Formats: sequence, C-alpha cells, structure tokens
Amino acid sequence: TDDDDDDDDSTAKALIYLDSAATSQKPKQVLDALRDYYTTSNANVHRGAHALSRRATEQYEAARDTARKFVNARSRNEIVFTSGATEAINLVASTLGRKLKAGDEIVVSVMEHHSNIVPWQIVAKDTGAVVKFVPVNEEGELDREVLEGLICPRTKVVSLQHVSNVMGCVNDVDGITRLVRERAHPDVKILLDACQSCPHMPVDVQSLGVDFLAASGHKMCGPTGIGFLWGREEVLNSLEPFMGGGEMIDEVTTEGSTYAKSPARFEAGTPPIAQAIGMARALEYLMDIGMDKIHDNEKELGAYLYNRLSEVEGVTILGPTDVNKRTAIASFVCDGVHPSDLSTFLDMDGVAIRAGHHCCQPLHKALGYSHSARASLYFYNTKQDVDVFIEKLEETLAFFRNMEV
Amino acid sequence: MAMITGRRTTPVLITYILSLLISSSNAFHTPSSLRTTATQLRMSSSTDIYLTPKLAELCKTFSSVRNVKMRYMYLLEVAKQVPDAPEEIHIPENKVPGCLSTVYIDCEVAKDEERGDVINYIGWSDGLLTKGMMSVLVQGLSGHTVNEIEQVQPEFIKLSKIDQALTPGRNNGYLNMLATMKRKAREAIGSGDTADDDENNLMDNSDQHAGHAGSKGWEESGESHFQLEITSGEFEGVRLVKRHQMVYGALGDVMSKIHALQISAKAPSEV
Repeated sequence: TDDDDDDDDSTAKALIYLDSAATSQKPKQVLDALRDYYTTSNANVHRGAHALSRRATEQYEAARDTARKFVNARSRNEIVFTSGATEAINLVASTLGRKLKAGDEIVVSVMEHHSNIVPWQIVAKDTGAVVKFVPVNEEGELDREVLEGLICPRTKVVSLQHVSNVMGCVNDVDGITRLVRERAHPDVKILLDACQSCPHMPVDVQSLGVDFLAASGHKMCGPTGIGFLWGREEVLNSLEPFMGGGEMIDEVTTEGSTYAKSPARFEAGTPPIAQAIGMARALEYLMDIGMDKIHDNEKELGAYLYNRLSEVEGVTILGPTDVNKRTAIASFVCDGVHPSDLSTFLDMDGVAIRAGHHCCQPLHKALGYSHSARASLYFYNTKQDVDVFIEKLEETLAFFRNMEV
Repeated sequence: MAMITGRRTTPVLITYILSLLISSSNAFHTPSSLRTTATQLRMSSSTDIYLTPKLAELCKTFSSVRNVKMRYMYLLEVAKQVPDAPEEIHIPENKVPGCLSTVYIDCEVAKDEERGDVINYIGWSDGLLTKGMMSVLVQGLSGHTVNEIEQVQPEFIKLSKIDQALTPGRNNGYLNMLATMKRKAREAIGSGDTADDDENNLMDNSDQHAGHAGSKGWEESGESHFQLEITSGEFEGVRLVKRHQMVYGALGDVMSKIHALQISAKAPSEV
C-alpha cells in the first residue's frame, strides 16, 4: 500500500559497518562450522553412549584446545566456556566474592564497562566489601598515582579492562600487575576484561601476570552466546561452583554433592556446543591470518581513523591524543549535534556507528559528557570505509549547522 | 482503576474501551461512533487507535512525506515548533528514562471553559530528533483532559510512519515519553479519577482454566477467561440483560478472541 520504496532500511545500500566493538561480522567459515555441526555432529556431549555423541564431544573439547592455544594457557582445564564475557566476570565475582569479608577492597576503574562494575557492586552489597574506583586523567588514562594509593593490603580483588571500549586506549597491564602483587593482600586476585583486546592483538596469559581473563566470542568473529573465562588452574579449583546442575558434579546424594574439577565444575548443564565450535573456528580463522598481522593492520587503520576524525571541525575525540596509545576505536562528541541525531543521519546514509554511553556511564560522567558517538573498526574495514564515514559525518554536521541559522 | 494481570493486549484494550464507556457523560456510544466533541478524542477508523485531533493532523502530515529521510528532516522542523523549556524543569522527577538523549518534561493544569481541567506540557531535549518526537507529543496532548491523555494509545505513531525508522532505542524512549506524560498529568490533577462513582475491575483468570480443552484465546495469547466487575452511572435503571449487552457491545470483536467473560454490572446506587 505504500509508495515509498525509499523507505527500506540501510541494508539495501552498501553498509559501512563501524560498530565491531559491539559485535563483529562473521566469516563464512564460522557460519559453515555452525551449520556443519548441526547437520553432521549434533548430539549432547560427554555422557552419550553412541558415535554421534562421541563426534560432538570431540569437536567441543577440540574447541577448548583451540581457545587454550589462542591465549597461550598452560592447560586446557583453564578454559571455561561461558555465554560471554559478562557471564565470565559474574562467575569470578560470585565465586571469589563469596569469600570476601566486610572491609575487604575491590579495585576497579571508572573506565570499566558496566559488566565489570555491577557484579562487584552486587558482591560488595552482599559481603560488606568496598568497591574502589581508579579515576582517569584528562587524557582518559588510568591515573597512576591514585592507583598506587588505592592498592593496599586490604585489596583482595583488582579487575580492569585491557582495552577501553570507549577510548580504545590500552592499559599497562604489566606495570599494574607488578604493583598489585607488591602492595595488595598476598591472596589478591586480578581479573582482566579482554573483550576489546583478544579480537585485535596477541594475548598471552603467561606474560600478562593476571589470574583471570574474560573473553567474548562474538566480538572476535564467533557466534553470539559464547565466550570464555581463562583462570589459573589452581585458582579455579579453589573456587566453589557458580551454577549447579548436571556435568559439574562428581557424586550427587540426598545429603549433598561433590564437584568435578575445573573446567567441568563451572560448566553446569548442556553447554553451548555449537557456539563453542563456531567460536573455535573463528579463533582458527584469526590465528591463520596471524594476530600480529591483525594488530599491525589495525594500528594503521586506527591511526588513519583518528587522524581523519581529528581534522573534522567541531569534533572532540575522547581518550588519549597520542595515536600510539590507541586501538581502532574512536568515541567522539560534536559541537551542536547530539550523538543520537548524528548516528541516525549516518544510518540513513548507510554508515553504522553507535551512540550513547556504550555501557560506560561512570566514564562519561568523569569525562564530562552525557553521551558520545563511537566508530570502531576491525580487520575487515578499510581506509575507504573511514573516508566515507568522514564524508558523511562532515555532510551531516554541515546540515545541522545550516539548520541553526 | 483496573486490576489487570494479563500479559498482552486484550486486557489493555478492554480497559481502554470500558473506561471510555464509563467516563462518557453522554448516552452510551459504541466505539465506532465515538467522534464526540464531549471527549475530544477520536478513533482512527482505519486502525481502531485512539488519538487526539492534533495528533491525527500531525500523523497525516508525516505520513504524506515521501520517504524515511525526509520524514526525519520534517521531524527536525517539528522539533523547532515547541520552545525550549526553562532550566528549572531539569530535575530528576521530570527526567524521561531510557531515551537516547537527555529529556525533561513537565506540565501544568489550566482551566478550559467547557471541559474543565486540561494539561499543558513543556519539554527539553539535547537531541534534536528526540525533541521532534517530544514536540509531537507535547503539541498533541496539550490542551486535553487527563482522561483523554490516558486513552491515547502509543500505537498511533504507526499512522505517522515515523515508526518504520525507529530503532529499538528510539522506540523505547518514545514509549517512555508518553508514559511519563500520562503519569505527570495524573499527578498534576491529583487522584486522576474524574468520574467519582464509576469503576471497573478486570481480572484475568486464564491461568486457572489452562488446559480446558479448546479454551479460546488460551492457545493464541494465554488470555481466555476474564472476570469483570463494572460500576457505571450508565447502568442506572437498566435491566441486567441489557447491561451485559452494553458491555458486550462496547467490547466488539474482543469477545470473539476470548472464551469467557464473567460480568458483574452494577449502578453506583447498588454498590
């Protein structure tokens, strides 16, 4: 009944996708892996008594080996499949948190994603522990001095982002872990939110010096609904279970139950089998290209994005002004144009960015903005994508400027 | 006014229609003929959605715009049609949650010669498109009574065709704006009830009848069995059978979608 065919969504035109920090696009290999699993190997894993179950189990456990390799973990038992990074962080917060007492301190930062703030606030409320926030300086970097002052013998947990999903800056994990090991409580545990690092650069848990790492599958070419927690084996085995149910037990009686060791201990119920296999295929895809190569490509692309964006009149980019300290993420605000208006107009021109607080309300408050727009790149973006984005950005800004007159 | 436990649209629809029945101070109207100046509310004949005349006018203009992009441009124009509300209204009680930008809305009561207390709205937003949506609502709802405002259904936005380009975030913000404006109108007036003796209570008993084979509505929507207690001046002096007929008539084809409606219909003098 409608005459407006122009009215379609922007997927009808070529789409320039600059929102990979929210989720990545998937290579054909991953889609094929998902389909292949369901058409040739779909059965429940571990306890099945038939060949199909054996096939599914082999592939599922092979996926665990791939994830181990991807982060250079010592043992496959250190990889716990979860529904994503948020669940991984909640798992640690809940199981570690249970042991905390009133007055114990949890240190996070003001730049954290809500999924690395809220679980700790919940834990603190339950136990009487206190959450402390490391502030950022005007460049958006962690305030080193304040951090040093905050770490003390009462510090039982430190949980930080590897790379900021808003500013794209890389935190000095080496320096921070050394400081924490020196000055915090001897039993302190360190968690690293690696959502924006694992997809974009080599990540080696042997050299990072942390106890836990949370990774998100769908941000690195994997399907949605899958991620993993890496944890030191002895630490994982010292934790009580997170979710209870099948698979994670050793023996169950009416008097009580005993539990399996990690990783089974933390994988109650039927796991996300297809998704884990899909994610493993994605990790293989990335490793085939080489994480070093991906990192180099993105450093160049990120610098190009930053430089072009900083030339646009009326635009302020959040975070470090030194391009070498940044990955290929740029959040920004524009004089006189609200980020949500900007993103809507860009959307109509086939450019997909994000607008809002990007699940980082405290960071925005600290930087003095209510909302920002964000362009985030991945290895499948090109300089041409950036060029079109800048072109449409300038057009939209000009349009709004003329409107004011 | 109504106690509703149902999950989907049927109870909401019933309540809207019944509250219309009750609040109309004229003789009983069937919904299809409800173009009365007494309530200043209109039902769009093509879609059975309640909206004010000004909203209908705005929707008509928007829907006549050629495509999505131009409609957004026009929304920016509409944004300019309401003045920016002063800083004083930028307080937490006036903040609309869940919007892509920051939105504050406030209202005040004014006296209309014919219709009594009406509500006038003012608002502010730092996002222009959001301000456009807000402007539509501010222009569309100002000058109306609380009852009329309560009955405006958010679905009216479909008539404008703006909804085709609303992302989930914007849609959420828009629904919250309308809900906030309704809440503020109720608060401004006080108790909100303009018809003192009239009342309806609608209870969804579908869960108690789950599994009754073939209960109409249960499979489709989980809504099959309802119980209604309704008090209205309309029933004064009217025979019981006729009262039930009036209720069925008001509900129209809702009855064909549910299995059973138990009715207790009283006049205020009988309560």
